[in-house]
Amino acid sequence: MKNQLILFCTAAVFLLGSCTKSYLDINTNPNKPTDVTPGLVLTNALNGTAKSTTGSTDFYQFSSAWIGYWDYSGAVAAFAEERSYQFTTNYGPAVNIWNNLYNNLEDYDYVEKQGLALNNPFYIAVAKTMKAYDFQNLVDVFGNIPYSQALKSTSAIRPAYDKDQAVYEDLAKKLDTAATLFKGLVGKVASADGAYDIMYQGDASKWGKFANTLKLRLLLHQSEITGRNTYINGEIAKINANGMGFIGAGDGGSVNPGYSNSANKQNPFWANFGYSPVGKSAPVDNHRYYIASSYAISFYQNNNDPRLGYFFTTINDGAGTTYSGSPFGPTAGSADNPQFKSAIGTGLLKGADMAQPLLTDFESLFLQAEAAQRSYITTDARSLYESAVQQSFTYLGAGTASDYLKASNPVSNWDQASDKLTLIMTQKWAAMNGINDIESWSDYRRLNIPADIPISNNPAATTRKVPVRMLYPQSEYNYNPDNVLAQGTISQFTSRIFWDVN
Amino acid sequence: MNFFLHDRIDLYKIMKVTLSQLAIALAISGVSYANSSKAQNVVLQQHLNLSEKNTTLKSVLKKVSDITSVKFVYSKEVINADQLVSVDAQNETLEELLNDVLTRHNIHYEVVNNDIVLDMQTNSAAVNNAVQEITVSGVVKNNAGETLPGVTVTVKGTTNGTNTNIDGKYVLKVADANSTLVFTFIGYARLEVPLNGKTSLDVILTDDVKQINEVVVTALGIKRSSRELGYATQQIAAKDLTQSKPTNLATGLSGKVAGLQIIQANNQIDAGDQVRVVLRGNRSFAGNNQALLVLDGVVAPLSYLNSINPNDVESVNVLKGANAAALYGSEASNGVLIVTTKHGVKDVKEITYTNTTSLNQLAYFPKMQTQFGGGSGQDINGFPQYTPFENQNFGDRFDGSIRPIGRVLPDGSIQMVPYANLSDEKKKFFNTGVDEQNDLSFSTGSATGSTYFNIQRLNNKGYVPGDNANRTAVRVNGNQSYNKFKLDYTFDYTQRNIDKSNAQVYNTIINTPAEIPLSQYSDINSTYGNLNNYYNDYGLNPYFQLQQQRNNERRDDLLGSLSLGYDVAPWLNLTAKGGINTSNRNGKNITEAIAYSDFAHDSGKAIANPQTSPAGTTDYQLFNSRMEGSFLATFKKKISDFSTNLILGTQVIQQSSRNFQANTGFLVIPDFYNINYRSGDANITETELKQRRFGVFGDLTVGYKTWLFLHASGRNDWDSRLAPENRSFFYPSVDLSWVFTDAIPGLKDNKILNYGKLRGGISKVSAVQFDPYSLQATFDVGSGFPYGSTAGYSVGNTVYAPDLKPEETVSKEIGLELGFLNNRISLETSAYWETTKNQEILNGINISSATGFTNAIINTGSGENHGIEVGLKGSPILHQGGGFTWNLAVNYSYNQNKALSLYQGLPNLSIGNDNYIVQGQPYPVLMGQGFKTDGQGHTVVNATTGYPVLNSTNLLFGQTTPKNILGVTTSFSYHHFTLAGTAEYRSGSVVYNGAGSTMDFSGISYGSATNGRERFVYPNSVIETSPGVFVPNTNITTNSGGIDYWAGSTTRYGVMQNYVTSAAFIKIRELSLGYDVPAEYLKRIKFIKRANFALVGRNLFMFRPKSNYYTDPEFNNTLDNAQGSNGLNQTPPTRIYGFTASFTL
Repeated sequence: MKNQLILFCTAAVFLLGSCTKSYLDINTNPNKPTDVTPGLVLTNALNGTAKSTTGSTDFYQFSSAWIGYWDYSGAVAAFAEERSYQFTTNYGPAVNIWNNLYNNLEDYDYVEKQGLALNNPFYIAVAKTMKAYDFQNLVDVFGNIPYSQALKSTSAIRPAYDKDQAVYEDLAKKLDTAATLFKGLVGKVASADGAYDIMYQGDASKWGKFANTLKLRLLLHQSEITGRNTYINGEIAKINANGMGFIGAGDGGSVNPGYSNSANKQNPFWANFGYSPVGKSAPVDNHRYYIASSYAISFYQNNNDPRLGYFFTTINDGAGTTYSGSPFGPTAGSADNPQFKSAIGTGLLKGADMAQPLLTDFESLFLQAEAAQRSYITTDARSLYESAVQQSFTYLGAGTASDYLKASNPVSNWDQASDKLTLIMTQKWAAMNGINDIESWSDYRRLNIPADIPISNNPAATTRKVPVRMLYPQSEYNYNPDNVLAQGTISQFTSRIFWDVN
Repeated sequence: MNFFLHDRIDLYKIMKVTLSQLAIALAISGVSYANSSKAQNVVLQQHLNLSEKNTTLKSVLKKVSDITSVKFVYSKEVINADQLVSVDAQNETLEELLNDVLTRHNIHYEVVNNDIVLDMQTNSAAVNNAVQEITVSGVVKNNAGETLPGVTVTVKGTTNGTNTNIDGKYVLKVADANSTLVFTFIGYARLEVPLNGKTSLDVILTDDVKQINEVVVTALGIKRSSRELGYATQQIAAKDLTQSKPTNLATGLSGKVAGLQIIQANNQIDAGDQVRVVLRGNRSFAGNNQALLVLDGVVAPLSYLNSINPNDVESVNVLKGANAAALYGSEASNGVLIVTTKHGVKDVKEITYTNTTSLNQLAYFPKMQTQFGGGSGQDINGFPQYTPFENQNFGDRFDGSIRPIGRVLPDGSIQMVPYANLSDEKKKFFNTGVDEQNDLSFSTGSATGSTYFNIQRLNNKGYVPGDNANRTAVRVNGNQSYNKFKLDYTFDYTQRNIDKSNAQVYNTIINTPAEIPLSQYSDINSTYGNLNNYYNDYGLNPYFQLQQQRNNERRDDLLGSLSLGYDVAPWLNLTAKGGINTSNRNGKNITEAIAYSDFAHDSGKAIANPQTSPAGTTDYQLFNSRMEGSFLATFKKKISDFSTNLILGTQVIQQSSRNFQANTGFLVIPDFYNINYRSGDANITETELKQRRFGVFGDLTVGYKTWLFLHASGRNDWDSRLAPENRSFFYPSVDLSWVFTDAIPGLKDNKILNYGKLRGGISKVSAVQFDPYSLQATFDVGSGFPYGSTAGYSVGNTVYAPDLKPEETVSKEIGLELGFLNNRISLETSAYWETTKNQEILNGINISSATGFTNAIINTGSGENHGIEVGLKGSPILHQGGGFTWNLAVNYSYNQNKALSLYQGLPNLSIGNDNYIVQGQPYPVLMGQGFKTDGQGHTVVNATTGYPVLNSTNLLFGQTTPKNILGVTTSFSYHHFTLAGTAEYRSGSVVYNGAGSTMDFSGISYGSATNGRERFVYPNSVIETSPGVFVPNTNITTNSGGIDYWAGSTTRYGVMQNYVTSAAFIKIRELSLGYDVPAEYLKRIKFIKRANFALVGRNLFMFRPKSNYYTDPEFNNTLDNAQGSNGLNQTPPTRIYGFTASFTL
C-alpha cells in the first residue's frame, strides 16, 4: 500500500518533468537573428533601393506612359487608372513607392545609427546619402511627407508631416555632411566595409561625387521657383567647397550584388520587364504589357536616332523588321498586342546580370549641363551636353553619338538649337527612357518639356492633364489620419510639389 | 433551387410560433400514460392447447411462447427453470394455464408490455418484514416505443445494478421493496422510480431534454450533476449529432447549441479541416476566439473535428464560458468542446458495422447573365464587338448565328458554334462527389474494465474531376481497474491522403463566356481541347489546369492519453495523466511544364507568350505536437448537509511545431518532379516554434443539501513566451448555483415546474497567445539574397514590445434553467458580459510605414462583448408504445461587441481581408472603397462622365459576425420511423462577395447585363454643382454601360461597396428519415441484434436576401477573426444526399 503510493507519486513527478527555472527559458529565436552587423544591412539596403526605385515596376507603371515613352498592350485588360489619370488612395504604385522607400529608409537608418555607435564614418556617410536619395523621391511623388518624425518606430507612431521644401533643404544639409565625410575617407575605407558596398565598393571619392550630384538634382528641381537662385547658388558654393565634384563619364552609381539569370536573382529591372530565367521564349508578363508608345517611336525615328533599336525591339519582340508603337489613351485592342508592337529593347534589357543604375553618368552630365546653362556652375554647357548624349549612347551600346550631334537637326545639334535649355531637357528626356521615368516626370512637371507629349483621350480621362503628384496611400488615412488630413484635400491635378511652379 | 428572402426576417414571429407550440405541449401532456390493464387482458385471453408431463419449466414456457408469441422474462437466479412441471390444457386461456402451472410452484407472473415477467411468489410471513428481498423486472423503452438495450438500472444508493438486455428487459434482485430504481442511459433523461413493493416496473426513458439531474462531463473529464454547475453547458448526445450521418463532427454540431457558431469556410476536398468554432462571439481583436477542443481529455486542434469519427462519439459537452480555464489553462478562455468517445458497456459484446454513402453536388452557383458573349473591344461606333478568342464577356448580344471561336488552326480550320447561351456547360464540368464511409466497431466490458475499438475508412471522390481523398482511422478506448487503481487509455490514429488539383478552376469555369461548349474540351488531346488550340487567348483549358497543378498530401494524426487513478481513501483520489497529440503533414505541389507550338506562339495567342514555362515543385512538411502532463488530487467529503469537492493540481504543457518547405519553379526534366533536378537556387524556409507552460490550480465546490452549490477556482500560470518578470500570472473564478425548486418548500414536487435553477458567476482569465519569440526585433534575409556569396539582411518590419503581457478577460454570467412537466420541456437562458483588455495584437497593429515599420506586436486596447442565449427543448407530442412523437429544440443567441479603445488613440486596426477593428464599433467590421454620397443616401456622380464619384476614404459597411443565430432541431417519430431536421438562421452581419467583382470584370455577372450594356443614369444619384450643393441627376448617363463601366476599377470591380450585401441566411442544414428494423423481423436473421437505415440530406435549402445572388455568405477566405469576405476561390456549397445502414451483431 505504502509502496504503491510512493510509486504513484514518483511516476507523477516524472510525468511533470523537472520544473526548474530554466525549464521556461526557451524563448530564444531559432528562426531569425536579433543582431547583425550593419554592413550586411547596408548590402541589402542598396539592393533594396535598386529594387524599389529605378528597378521597380512602380517607377514606370504610370510615368512611362504619361511622359510618352511606353504604352499598355491589349494583352491585358488593365491600366484603366493610368489611361484615365484617375486613381485612388489605394493606387498600387503610389502605395508601393511609399511603403518600399520608408522600409528601405529604415535599413539606412539602422546603418547610420550603428555607424555612430561603432564610430564608423563610412556607414554614416553612405546612409545619409542614400536616405537623401529615398527622401527626394518621396518628396517628388508626394510633396509634404513625414520626415523629422519619421523612422522613429513606436516612439512617434503617428509621425507628423514636414513641408516638402523644408525636407529638401534638410536633405541638402545631409548631403553636405556626407560629402565632407567622404572627403575625409578617400583611400581610408576599410576593405571589410567596402566589401559590403555593392555600389562603389568603398570608393569614397565616387561616393562624394554621388552625394554632390544628388544635391545638384535637388537644387535644379527648385530652379524655376522665383527668387530661389540665391539659395541655389549658396548651396552650389558648398558643393564647390568640398571639392569632390560631380559624377563624370563612367562614374555612374549602379548596384550589383551579383545578379544572375536564375529565379529571384535577376537584375530587378530585367526581372520586372524582361524575361524569366528560361530565356527569350519566356518573357515576363510586363514585357508583353508594356509596349512602345507611338510618340517615342516617332521621336527617335524622326530624328534618325540610332538609339531607337536599343530602347525598343522591332515588332513581335524583335522577330519583325519594323518598329511600331501605340497611341496613349484609348483602351487597347488586339491590334496593340505585342506581336504587332515594339517591346522594351536590348539597350535597357542588357542581361539578367546587369547592374542596376541608380544615378547614371549621363543623367549627371545632363544635370551639370542644365546647371551650366543656368549659370549655377561655370563649366562649358555644350561640352557637358554632348558628353551626356554620348554617355547615353554608350550606356545603350549604340556606339558614337558624334554623327547624331552633328546632324542638321535642332533637336540634337547644339548650334542649331534655338533654346539651349529646351535642347538639353529634350535630350535628357530622350536619354532617360526606361532609366528613371519618375525623374523624367519631375522634369516634365517643372518645365513642361517635351511640350507635345500626348495627353490621354480615354473617355474616362475627364481631366485631360498629366497628374502633378500621387495621392497619399490609404494606409496613412487609416493609421496616421490626423496628420495626413492636415495636408488638406489632395488632388492629383492641382496639389503640386513645391518646385512645380509652371 | 434558390429561395430568396427579404433582407430582414421577422424574428418576433418565429418566437411567437415557438411559444404557441409550448402551449400545445402543455395541453397534451397527459397523453403519455398508458392503460396497462387492457393490454394484460388481451394477452391472457388467448386460447391454446398444450399437454406436457414432467417437462422442465423452461421448455413448457418455450412451447407456450411458440404458440402465443408471448415472451417470458425471468432471472435464472430467481426462478428454477429446470424444475419439472406438468400441464394439460385443452382450449384454455393463457390465464387459466398460467394460474394452473405457475401458482402451483409459487411463481408469480405479471404481464408487462405483452411479455410475461416471472418471479417467486412471496409468502405472507415475509411480506410483513420491513426489509424484504424482491425481484423486479421490466422493460425499458424510449418514447418512440423502441426497446433500449444497455440501459443501466441501479438501486438508488447502492452499487447493486444491471443492464437491460438486447430486448430492453431487465431483472434485478432488490433487497428492499421500498427502494428506488434509477435508470440511466446516455442521451436520455435519468429516471428514478420508487418501487413501493412493485415487482414489475416498465419505464419509458424520455429524450435527454436537458440533463437536469444528468451527469455532465466537465473539465478534465470530471463528471458532475448538472445541478451543481454555476455556468452554462450544453450536452449533445450521439444520436443528435449523427442523425444526418455527417462525416465531419463539426457539421453535426451546427445549429444545435445556443451561442455556438460553426463556420465551414470552404468545401474543397480537403477543406473539412477548415472550420471556425466560436462560442459567444469575439472577445479578442486579433487573438484566438475559437473554442478549445478536448478529445477524451486530450487537447487537440479544432481541425481534429474532421478526424473524429462521428460514430465514435458518445457525447459532446459544450462549456460556453471561461469557467474551465482554471483546470485547462487559459486556452479554455473561449469555451470548450469536450468530446467523449464511446466505451464498452459491461457485459455487452457488440460488433457494429455502419456504411454511409453520400453524394454531393455543387449547388447555388452565382447568378449569371445569359445575353452577351465573348468580347472586350468596341467597334468604331462604340458598339460591343465579338472576339472569338476572348475570355471577357463584353461581346454583342447572342443572336444564334454560327460564329467562329478561338483562332484559326494550323490546318486553316476554325471551330464554329452557335452564338447562344449554354449555361448548363458550367454545371456539367463538375462531377457528383461520392463519400463512402465504412465503420466497424467492437465493444465489450466486464466488471473490471471495458474496451472500445473502431476502425474506419472514408473514401471521398470530389466534385472536382480527379480530386480524391481518403481517411483511415483506428481508435481504441478502454479502462481497467485493479484494486484501487484505475487505468484509462485512449489511442487514436488517423491517416488521410489527399490528391487534388490546386488550380482555381471554379474561377475559370464561372467566367467562361456562355457560348463556349466547355464540355467538348474534356479530352485535353482533342483538336479543340489541346493546349495550342484551346479557344481562350488568355487562359488554359480548365480540364488541363486540373492535371497541370496538383497537390498530394498525407496527414498523420496521432492522439493518445493515459491516466492512472488511485483511490488512496474513500475521500481522496490521486490521478496522474499524460496526453499527446501530434500531426504531421507531408505534401508536394507540382506544376507541369508548358510548351506551346511555334504556330500557337506566332499566331499571337497571348497565353502562348511566354512560349515555354518550366515545371515546378514544392515539397513541404509540417509537424505539430502538444504534450501535456498533469497531476490531480481530488478530495471529497460530506459533513452533515455540506458536501465538498476539492481538486488540487499541477499541469505542464509543451507545444512545438516545425515547418519546412523547399520550392523551385525551374525543374529541368519536364515530368520529373524532384527538386534536386532544377536550375538556379531553391527557395527554402524553415520555422521552428516551441513553448512551455506550467500551471498550479485549485478548484473547490461546496454544496449545501441538494440545492446550493458554490464553486471557486484559481490558477497560476508560468509561460515561457513572456519575459521572466511578466511570466507568472494568476486568474480566479467563482460561481453559484441555486436550485430554487428544491430550496423553497412551496415549490417542491410541483407538477408543472419540476425544476428551477438560478446561477451566476464571474471569472477572470489571462491568456497568452503570442507566438514564441515575440519579445525582440529580428532581421530578415533581404529579398533575393544571397546572390551567390553575397549576403544581405534587412531590419524586420515588425516592432516588438519586450514587456508583453497576457490578454485579460473578465466575464460575468447569469443563467436561469427551468424544467417543466417532469422535464418534458426545459428552458435554459444565459446572459453574459465580458470585457477584454490588454488585447494581444498577434500579427501586430498596423502603423504608418513612415515609422520605418509596418506593424507593432503589442498589448493594446480593450473591447466588450455581451449577449444572451436561450435554449428551449421539449417533446410537444409524446406517445407511448411507438405512436407519434415530436421533439423540438430551439437555440437562439444574440451577441454584440464593441471596441472600446485602441493603441494611442489609433482609429482603426486592420486584421486582414478588409476587416478592421474600429473604435466605438462592433468588431470586426468590413471597410473598403465606396462612393461619395450627399449625406442623404444619394450617390454623387461626375457631371461629365455620369460615373459615381469615389469617396476619398474607406467606408464602413458593417460587422462581419452575426448578431443573431437561431437553430431549430426537430424530430418526428412514428413507430420505427424518425424524420429529423436542423435549420439555422443567422443575421446582423455583412459580407463582401469577391465573386461579384471578378464576374463584373469578366462580364459574366447577372448585374452587368441588367442595363442591356447601354448607357444609363446611375440610380438614385446627384450631382455636386458646388461644394456641398447637390442636385438630383435625372439625365446624365454613364459614359459607358459596357466594359468601361463594368470592368472599370473605379466604377465597378475595384469598388468594394458594389459587392457588399447582407450575410443573413436560413439554411436547412440537415434532414433525415430513419428506420429501425423491428426486433421481430430480425429474429429470423439470428446473428443481427439491431439494424437501422436512414436517408439523409444536408444543406438542401438556403434562403438569402435578394441582394446576395453570389454565394453562401458563410464561406470565407480565411478561418481567422477576419470574416465576411469570399471570392471565387471558394466553390459554392454542395447539397449532400446520403444513405446509411447500420448493423449490430
